[in-house]
Amino acid sequence: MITVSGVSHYFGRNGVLSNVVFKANEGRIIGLVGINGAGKSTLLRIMSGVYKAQTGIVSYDGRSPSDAKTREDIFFLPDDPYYTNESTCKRLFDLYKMLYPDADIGVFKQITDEFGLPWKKPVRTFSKGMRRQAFIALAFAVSPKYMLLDEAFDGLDPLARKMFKDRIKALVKAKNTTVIISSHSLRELEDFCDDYLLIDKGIVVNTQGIMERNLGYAKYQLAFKEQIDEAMFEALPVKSLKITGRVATVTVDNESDIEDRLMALEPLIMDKLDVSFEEAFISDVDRTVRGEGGSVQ
Amino acid sequence: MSTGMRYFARHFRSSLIRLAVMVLFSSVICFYFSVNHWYTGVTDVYTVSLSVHSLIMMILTYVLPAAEFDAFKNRRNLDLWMSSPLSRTSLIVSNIVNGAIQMLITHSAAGLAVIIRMLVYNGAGAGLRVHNAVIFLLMSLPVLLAVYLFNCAVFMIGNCRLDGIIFILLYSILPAMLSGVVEMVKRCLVFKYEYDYDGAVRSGYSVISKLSEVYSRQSGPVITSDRQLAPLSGRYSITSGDMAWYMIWIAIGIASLVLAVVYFKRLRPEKVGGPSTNFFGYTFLLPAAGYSFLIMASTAGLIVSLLIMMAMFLGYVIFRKGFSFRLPDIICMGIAVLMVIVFKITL
Repeated sequence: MITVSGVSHYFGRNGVLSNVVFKANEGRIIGLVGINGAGKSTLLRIMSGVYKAQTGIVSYDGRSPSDAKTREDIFFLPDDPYYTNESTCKRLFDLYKMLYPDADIGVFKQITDEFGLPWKKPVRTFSKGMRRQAFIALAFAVSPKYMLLDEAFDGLDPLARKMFKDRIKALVKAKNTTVIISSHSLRELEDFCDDYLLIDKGIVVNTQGIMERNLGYAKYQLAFKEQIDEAMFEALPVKSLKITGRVATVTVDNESDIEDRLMALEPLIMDKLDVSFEEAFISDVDRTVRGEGGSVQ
Repeated sequence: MSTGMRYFARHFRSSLIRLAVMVLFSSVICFYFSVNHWYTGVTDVYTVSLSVHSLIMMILTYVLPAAEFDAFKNRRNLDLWMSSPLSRTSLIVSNIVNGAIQMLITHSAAGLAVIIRMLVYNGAGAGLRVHNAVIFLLMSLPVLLAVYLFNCAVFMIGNCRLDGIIFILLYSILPAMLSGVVEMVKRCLVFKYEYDYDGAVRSGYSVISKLSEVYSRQSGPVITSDRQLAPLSGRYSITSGDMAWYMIWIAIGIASLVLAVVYFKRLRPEKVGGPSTNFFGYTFLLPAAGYSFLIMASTAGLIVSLLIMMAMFLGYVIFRKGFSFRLPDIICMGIAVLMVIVFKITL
């Protein structure tokens, strides 16, 4: 189990992480979500042992990532991984094989073949997505107990994303691996992760399951007899509002009387829609910025 | 095999091309320029100048730390190495040892080139003393390694490549400053003091060049005194003062190794690539180096030297991407200027 307890980190006088607390059980896929500069990469670097937490503790079954022995079980894929001008797929594998002796060349070969990556071509000549694919293949070849992936979906095409997700699920099932994956692709994480860490301004504001969090918001589509404008909704706890002619699509805080208040606007029709993860995320961040919510967990 | 050993083996293999270039370059230069031969019109004269060897090796003590630790001035590299199952101690020691081995091999190969050249000339009756060259090679190696280790530690405190190189260069003129301090203290404390630079602080290179000077003053047996050539008899010896500095540099090397390992273990990768904020970096070096320039300048050149010092300091402030003066900078600068004033007054 990964335990992060009271981790804070500063770059000079700028606080990047503030009292981050969470636990990640074995065999879970955890999405680390946050806007640019929220502290996702810093948190992953602290968890992987690259940075040393200035305060607080990170432990893997009670072992610190500062200990090289602990890091044998951790694979960290940064957003911009290391390779040299001469690096080819083969050389990259040799490098990681040196660091992780149990790395399986069969798995690496299989995945790079599936992605159609050339083995003898320098990695620097690859597109961004191809480079990402090569490092993903390395991650699966290493098959660690803990996998920390920063912006892992970045640059991947839809087919590669699907393959990546399927592989992660299979790895988690087979080896009980714990995966922490940060991404801006909120829609990609929506149907994929078991838990989510919403990180904003260095504070982890939510670790609940997506469905649970979505209960905090409600989305409705309303059709009116006459033309409407935004002023009609001013009195409501609106998170987002889109008006097209006489139809309004509105996301609001899921207050107990919200449907009555919407009905008071006298729409001809009112339908309740599902709130997407992305909408929930944006609303959460919005609430945090305004200081209305976001209990540190 | 442990992860550290596997890393070392891989790192050694990956730097073989660099080693080959260094060996080839050093050997060729030493082979052609260490042993000189000319004809006086009466007889053949042969001289050996081991300073060529010591100069090339000294350059390597600057180049090798930069080559070995360049990878650790890049955050992407550090992401890999620091998150890998390789301890920081293994990582840094592997790189230091690799550089030391490369220095040893290059030093030996270049030395061998000199010896071969001497043997070739001896075959023609030059009578050059090969054992002197062997003694020089054996004696210069420890102090060369010490200077290499010192430069490794200095390069380490820079947060980027450029800073590391600048620090090594500035630290190389630091002994001049220390000499100045010693002289100044003597002048202040001793009522009647004779100016004497024999006690000047020795840089690593001056220790090695002294050795090369001692062991290379030799020539063939036939020298005409009427040509007023230097009496190159090979009877020069090392003084106890030289040996003291020799031992001091060995001690500096060992201390540098410890400091380098400790510093790397505490390294904060998030600072790499940014301005170097270590006190022993620009904060200490700029006033120190500026002071060195000042004490070396004549009284007439004092204004120019002061201007250079001010320019260096201003350049540093700009380089730090800001115009704010930090208190340590002002204190260090103030101390340097004060020392110059005291020194010049007591002159």
